[in-house]
Amino acid sequence: MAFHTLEYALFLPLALLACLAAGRFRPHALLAASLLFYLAAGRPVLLLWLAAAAAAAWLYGRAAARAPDGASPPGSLFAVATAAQLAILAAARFEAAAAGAAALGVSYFAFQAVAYQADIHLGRVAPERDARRLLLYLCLFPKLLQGPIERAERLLPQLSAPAPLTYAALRGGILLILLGLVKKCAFADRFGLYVDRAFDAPELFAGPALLLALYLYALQIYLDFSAYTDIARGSARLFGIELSDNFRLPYAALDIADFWRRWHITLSAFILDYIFRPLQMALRDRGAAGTCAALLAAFLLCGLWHGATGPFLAWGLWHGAALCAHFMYRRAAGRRRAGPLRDLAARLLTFHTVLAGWLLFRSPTLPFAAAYLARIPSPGGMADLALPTGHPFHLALTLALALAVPLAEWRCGSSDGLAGGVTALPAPARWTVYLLLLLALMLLGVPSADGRFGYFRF
Amino acid sequence: MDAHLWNELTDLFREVFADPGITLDPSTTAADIDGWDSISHATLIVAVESRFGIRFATRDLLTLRNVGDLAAAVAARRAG
Repeated sequence: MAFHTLEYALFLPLALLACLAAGRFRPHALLAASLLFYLAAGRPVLLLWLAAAAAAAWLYGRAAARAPDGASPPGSLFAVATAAQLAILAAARFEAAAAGAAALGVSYFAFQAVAYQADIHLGRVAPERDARRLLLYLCLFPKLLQGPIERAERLLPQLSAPAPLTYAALRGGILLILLGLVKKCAFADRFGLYVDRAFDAPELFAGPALLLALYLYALQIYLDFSAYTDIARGSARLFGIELSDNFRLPYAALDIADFWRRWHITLSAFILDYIFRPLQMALRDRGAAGTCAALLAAFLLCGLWHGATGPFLAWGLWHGAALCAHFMYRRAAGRRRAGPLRDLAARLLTFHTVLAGWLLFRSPTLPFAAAYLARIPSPGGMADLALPTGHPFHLALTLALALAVPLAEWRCGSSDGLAGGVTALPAPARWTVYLLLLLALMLLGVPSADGRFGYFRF
Repeated sequence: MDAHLWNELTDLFREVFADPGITLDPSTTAADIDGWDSISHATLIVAVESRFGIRFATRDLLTLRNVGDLAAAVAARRAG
């Protein structure tokens, strides 16, 4: 059930009413709603994978709880528990591929389960005794299909004692949902029309048009993914739960390490804490070579998480290599000197490093990416990228409007900041913004070809 | 907290991050020190191990949350 569908527009208020009416059984109602949401994905086998992941995590927690006071659970037990989660993830992906479908949500809750087990092993969190609460932690519907990948120490306490629904929470949640819908339907999917045309048949377009399509893809993927996060966080807020933000102005990053502190924050934090840091510490005696090996391995796995294909693996290696280059440069150059021109140059360099990675990410094969790149210097205009029914003016207008969203977020610091800025306006101005958002949704909204958000497929 | 150990740790941080103005307290984290991030962290740990003649277990390193935890881990290793 995608967030920008009529089904979700009916499901969300009904789920909220059910939870409010359930009183002290609210957590049970929320769990039932989340399982129903997952069932609506149309593949009951997904619930089997969810049950397996939850059972493995719960059993590991029970076994760990039986360790003597102050002692950590045996490392071998942790290794088995981790292997179980990764096996579930691999089996789910294999089964889905065989069925010609996507293993919706499995990548996200499997990683959450791994993080939960790792945090028990490291003594950061106590095992959850309540199996239903642990299951809800994994399958809470706003974050089930596309994250954020929540940590147990942050989410479990909220599931035990969610905040009451207040007018401010209701207003803030609905506004975040509305912002997300506009970003997705009016902008990301509109850009997708241009991007898909260029990537479906790049040989039909001149270099400038292909370059423009690549820049539009950078905007599309950010708006699509951040839109999902906005809607997820807005939905969760209605149930008294604060989910983590996944984006913090990523294209304003000053270097590639800064980019990964701003993009898909919960996934990069997972990679940092559970893959890179253990590897880096194990290889610390090898100095810079050890750190670089850890970076490359961590981001190769990041690429693999997205898909076991050449382009995704190359994308992961590209970012790993960029991080290695950044690390070696920092070692040689020392502390970074700030300044308006230096910062601008740094942001442009970082953005274009990321843009080159997006070409790999969007391409179906590596030869395709190479051919696309080779075609960019070819002469020609951008007008031939015009939509089948559109006019170049529409592209210019949409580009201007969509750039306004990231610029507004920059001005306010984040999507939350933007939503907070709107709710702080006087009532006439606030209602004008609401009306403009609804108009943008109605007039500019484009139904996406498969009705999904881009990151559902991971 | 052993004052001598704390002073040595402070001197070490100043050397590793090339900033003589660094001051530490138990709650200091990477967010408080320019240049200290996940990538440069290994350099710091190797320097700490070398300075104090100790060797941390990898698992212990993954549970450190702030300089206070680091100082306590150093003290424990030296005592053990």
